[in-house]
Amino acid sequence: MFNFIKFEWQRRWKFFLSGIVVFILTNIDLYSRMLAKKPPNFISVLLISILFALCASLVLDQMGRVYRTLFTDEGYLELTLPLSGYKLLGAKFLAVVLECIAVVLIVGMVLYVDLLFTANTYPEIFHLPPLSWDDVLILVQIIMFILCGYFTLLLMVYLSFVLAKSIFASFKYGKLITVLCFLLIGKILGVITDLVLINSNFSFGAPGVLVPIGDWAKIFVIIGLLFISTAYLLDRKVNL
Amino acid sequence: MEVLKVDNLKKRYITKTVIDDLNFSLDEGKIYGLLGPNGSGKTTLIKLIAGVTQPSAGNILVAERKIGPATKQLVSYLPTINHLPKWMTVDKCLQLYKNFYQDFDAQLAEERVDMVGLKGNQKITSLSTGMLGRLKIVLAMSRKAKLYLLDEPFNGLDPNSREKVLKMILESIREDCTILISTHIIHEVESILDEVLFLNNGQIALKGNVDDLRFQKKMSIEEIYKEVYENV
Amino acid sequence: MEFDNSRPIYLQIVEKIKKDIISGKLERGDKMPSVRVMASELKVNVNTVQRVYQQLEQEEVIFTQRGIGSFVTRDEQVVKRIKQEMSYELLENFVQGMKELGFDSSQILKLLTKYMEGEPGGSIKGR
Repeated sequence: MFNFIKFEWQRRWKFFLSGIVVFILTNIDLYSRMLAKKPPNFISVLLISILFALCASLVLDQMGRVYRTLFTDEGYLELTLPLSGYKLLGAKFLAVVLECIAVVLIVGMVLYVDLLFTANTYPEIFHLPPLSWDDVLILVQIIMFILCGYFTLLLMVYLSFVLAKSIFASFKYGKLITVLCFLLIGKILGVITDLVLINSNFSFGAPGVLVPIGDWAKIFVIIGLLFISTAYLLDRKVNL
Repeated sequence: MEVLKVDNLKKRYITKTVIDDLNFSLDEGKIYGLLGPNGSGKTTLIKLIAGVTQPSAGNILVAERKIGPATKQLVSYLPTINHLPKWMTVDKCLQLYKNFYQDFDAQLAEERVDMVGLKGNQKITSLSTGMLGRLKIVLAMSRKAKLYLLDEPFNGLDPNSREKVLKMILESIREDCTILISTHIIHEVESILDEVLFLNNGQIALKGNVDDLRFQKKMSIEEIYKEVYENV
Repeated sequence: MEFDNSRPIYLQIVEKIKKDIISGKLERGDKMPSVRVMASELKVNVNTVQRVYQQLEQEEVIFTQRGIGSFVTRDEQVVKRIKQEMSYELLENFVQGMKELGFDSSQILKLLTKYMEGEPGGSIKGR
């Protein structure tokens, strides 16, 4: 399984590296302009658009990882490796989760360095505000909430691909079926969410709690169910 | 021991039946030819055994195990299409096989890469059809698998490459393994096969030992092939 | 070695080995190559060669010593026998072919004598 994660990253390390470099360059450019009170010029716009394109392609790439297994010739390699569907999907999904956490950490670190730098250079204008434990918790929860939403979306996409290539494999229009499946899964999940998460409104009542523990559990259960059904189909029902 | 056992196997699509109630088994230590015209179900059968497609009914056992990760460790599959990722190099492919298959002999594979005239740093995208075919066979045959599934291994290969591929197949047969070669270029494999399976409309039209068939019919396998499919 | 694909390959190899023994290419008591070596030399399946060796052993043309290998028979009688068998086979094919062309026994004999005297087909042209 970890071999597979390694395999997934071997093909992408140049992409990841260029993403990090572009992000840092953009940060330096914007930050220095902000300090010098200069307006962004052509290079800044270019950097930002490259960064945007890289982000978009990362998202597309992450969505397409199961597509590659099911709709391209490489599937004949991936699906004949001695890995169960659970391990294969697990490796792909874990790789995506780790990538997202890495993005959050890198962005967080760079912004933090910016703040530290500002505080050191202009102590008279800017003080690093003291961070309380509760603030950190809230921040972590916001990030987790966004990430969980993203993971749910990804798994919905994966499940749609797998449905199109398993239960509906006899039909010719695989890609059209994928879209239909996606819409259907979205609808079903919407209903479930309404039923289960109905009492969840963001409560700022308790300190450090944005989403109550119970709701986290429900979110994880939904992600888990999506994962297990996708992996089951990938393991037993795929028809290339 | 039976390396492969197929019981009442069926594969249906909405409008047609590709594999129709197939029953057969393959023994250890033999090279089998899976022969038949296009559309006779050869590729589908091989995909079913490799586990990339699921049967509509029936059973497949590889070394008495149901198709799954355990049999994939025992089966070395060479698909017709190019299953190797485009971004890889020859060396990376060897590395990949070594990482995933315990039975992959990396040293042997490296020697064979040399033997067939490839270089480790060549990119998959830069390889010609013939070179790719040679690389695929090196990867598949450098595993010490229980069952080799070779789907049209001679497709797109020049006579020189075919010779090398044949040699590699002959070198790899051991007493405890089985090779199943699907092909429509029969002339090429006449002299290396033990047994043949003629497939027609998803059913077995004829099965037997090649020398016995030659003796009975006083014909080459290629001629028998023509006879079998003439009436179709 | 080129094979005639319409005849069992193992039989063709059996014949070739017998010929080699008769012609002296393989001498009495010579060690035969291992099944694997012979298979890769002839570019045929190991099982085919195995069948060849089985057949030859049955006909006592070769004998196997456990753990050492197979050897060409030392028995002169056997060599004589296979020589006779093979010559009969050739004659049989020849005579059958001639009969299919419509020659009777005495004509075949005559033609054969002429042929052996160095006048290939002379009488046929003259007729």
